[in-house]
Amino acid sequence: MNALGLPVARLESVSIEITGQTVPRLVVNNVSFEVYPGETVCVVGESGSGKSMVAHSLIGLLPTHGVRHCSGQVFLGDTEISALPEEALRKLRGAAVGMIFQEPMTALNPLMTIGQQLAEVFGAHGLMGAAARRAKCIEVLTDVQLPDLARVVSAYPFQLSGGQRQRVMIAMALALEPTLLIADEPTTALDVTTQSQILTLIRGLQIRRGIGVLFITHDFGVVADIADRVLVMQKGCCVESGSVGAVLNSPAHAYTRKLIAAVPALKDQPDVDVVPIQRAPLLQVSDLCRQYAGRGGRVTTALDRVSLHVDTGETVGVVGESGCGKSTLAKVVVGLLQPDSGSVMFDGRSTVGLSRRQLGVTRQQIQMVFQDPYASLNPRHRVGEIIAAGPINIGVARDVAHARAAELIRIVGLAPSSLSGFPHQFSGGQRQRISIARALAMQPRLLIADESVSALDVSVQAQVLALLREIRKELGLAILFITHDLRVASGLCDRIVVMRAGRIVEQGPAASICGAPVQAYTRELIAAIPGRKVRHDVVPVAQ
Amino acid sequence: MKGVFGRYAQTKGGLPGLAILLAIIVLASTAHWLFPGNPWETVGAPFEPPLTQGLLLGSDMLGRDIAAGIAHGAYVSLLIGVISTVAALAVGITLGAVAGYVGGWVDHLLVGFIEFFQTIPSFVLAVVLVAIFNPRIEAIVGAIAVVSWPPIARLVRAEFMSMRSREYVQAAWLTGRSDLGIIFKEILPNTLSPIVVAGSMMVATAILLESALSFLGLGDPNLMSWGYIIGSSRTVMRMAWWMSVFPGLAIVLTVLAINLIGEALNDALNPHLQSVEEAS
Repeated sequence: MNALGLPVARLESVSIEITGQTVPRLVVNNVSFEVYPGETVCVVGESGSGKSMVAHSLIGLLPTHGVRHCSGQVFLGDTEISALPEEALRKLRGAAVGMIFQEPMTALNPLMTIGQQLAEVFGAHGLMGAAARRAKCIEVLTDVQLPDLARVVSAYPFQLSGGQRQRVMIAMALALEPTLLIADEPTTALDVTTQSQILTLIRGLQIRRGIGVLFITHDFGVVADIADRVLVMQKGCCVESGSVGAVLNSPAHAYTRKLIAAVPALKDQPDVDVVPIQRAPLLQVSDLCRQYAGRGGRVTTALDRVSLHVDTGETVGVVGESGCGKSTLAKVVVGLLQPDSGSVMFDGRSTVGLSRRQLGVTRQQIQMVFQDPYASLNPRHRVGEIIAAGPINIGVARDVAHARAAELIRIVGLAPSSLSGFPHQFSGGQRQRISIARALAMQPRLLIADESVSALDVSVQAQVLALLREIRKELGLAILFITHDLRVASGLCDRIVVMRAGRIVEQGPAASICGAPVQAYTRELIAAIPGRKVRHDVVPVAQ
Repeated sequence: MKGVFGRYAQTKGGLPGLAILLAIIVLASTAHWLFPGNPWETVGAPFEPPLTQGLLLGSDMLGRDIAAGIAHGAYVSLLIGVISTVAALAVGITLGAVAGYVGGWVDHLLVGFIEFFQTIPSFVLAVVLVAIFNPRIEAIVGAIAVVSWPPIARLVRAEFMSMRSREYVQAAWLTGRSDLGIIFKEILPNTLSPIVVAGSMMVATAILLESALSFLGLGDPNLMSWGYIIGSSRTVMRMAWWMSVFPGLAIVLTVLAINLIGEALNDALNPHLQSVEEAS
């Protein structure tokens, strides 16, 4: 390891508790570690493991109400910061430590151009005149390999892509040349190819500048690509730590094994439990085109002559980066959007241009599971009502619908008492299960899952995927599975369709797409998959 | 239901607000027993200060009992406040929901209609409306409703526009909910908090508007109201402070109580604020 000199950051038996509730609860329990210059330390854990609290304690960003730093010391360089006044902390932020966040869109000010926001960083620390600041902006933006700098400097955040925004955030965090960079899930909101570019960028900057990086993630695949050392956190405690090789190859703790096993692998052989597929197209999409009118008369083509089919009982994956048109495809198939041209045939009937009433029973047979588990359930309705509402709408008796809801909640692996809860009382994974139950309540023949597992932790993602697999087997459901992650698709789908910029690049059986891709773009997608160093023969220990 | 009330009771202003409003309602409904007879009748000498000649709050320039006027006026003020708000909410929510949910040319048309009303100063419009239709209580309620609904419609429209593209609305559409079902069962409950708050403020504004109309002499001549008492006392404010202070206090208390209730309802109806222990 290239550990040199003094650590840039050091935590010594730090404990943090939440005091808001009646009983204080430890969210970080006696955690110690240090980050040396020139190394990347990954803190890995699921949501709620306290990993973000650890990161925030290092930059003095713990919430002032309801959270209490109860013991231990936090050092940045050789300064103990846990007792520093806000004024002194502000001088350290940016200068000694920079931070990037999960969602670059909300971390940037939407009303200021990138150039203004960067200049503000220098201004806040009292550096240089306007002209010098602008030159410096260009310099730091060049460093994060942003193309077309003149445009980026005068652009507003919404005019950039997610990956570009994250590059801007990195530039901003590193503008004052801090010795420590804290990255809190910086690639979770990005698709696989962009994630891979950002990881490479962070790794490159870290080596070139010799800074320390504290990287927070839930994905062991990412850990394998970027970390020197790993710290695994569960429920506020550090359960395992060590060099990345040691932890990945011989994980000691059961929880570490579980996290490693949850990393989806790119499978080039079909699953053993393949469902019998009837070779009769259930869904036939032909020559679908759809354009969006953008600002200033610009037209974006979301779908360009897309044709694909899904057989009864078959699972078809649609894979592509964000903006490739895959979500538009899903919306056109379920009827939320009308195509400009082309046809959608479901079970031999055309569904384009018909009202819901004209579609009748066909409409109910295509159901959808959405991406955002926090936005797809009505916060005012109880879970039981949410699941039973669909059948009641189509004339099923109230008690029958509620009995079916109770049955479904069991099938998706939740307790019967969940039916009387409100959505906000559930975790992301549980909400996604409720979403699936709602879709299944309509007894669909085709389920469309639009990035349904992308917002979940890898471990939770694995559980929801297992649930989908089981449902498919038991109910003989056809699934159109839309994702940006080829690994996830390879583990679930019989066939995979690769899309780029509104067009289908390649389609075929999952095994051949993943094992022997023909198109260069598919190979790029495969190369971008994080964590190919992760051993997929690690078996989670039964608990 | 008990849960909602329990949460309501836990809010800071909920119970005091309810208590004040209940007291005013009781006052309004028992006015005929407490102060029998017509509040317009002379009962003593003019300009009697409070607590003289058996007059609790004194008398006005014609010797009418201020306390009787306030008690009888409570009924008028509450009635006008509640009915005109209900009417304004009905119109505002319907138009706002349709504009926000349907969008397109329907939205353009309705927004134009809303803006037409918003370009006219609302109080002036109310005065004109009451002056055109005889100053009877129906006309006053109608005029207040007409000038109050546009902000509600705007609010509801904006909420519906942001809600209609939410995933849970799409999911409801996919599970066969009718458009009316989506508007009333899916979206409207989620816009309830701002509507309840805006609505309760509107009851308060309506009471103030009625007082202002009566102050200008445009109130219903058959009904005693708070605004009328204040209006008639404006020329004698320095020599008979009690004539304007007590009805003014009545208005302040009512408006305060209604605002407190609105805030508390907002907190109680919001499921996000429900404690986690309740769930498990």
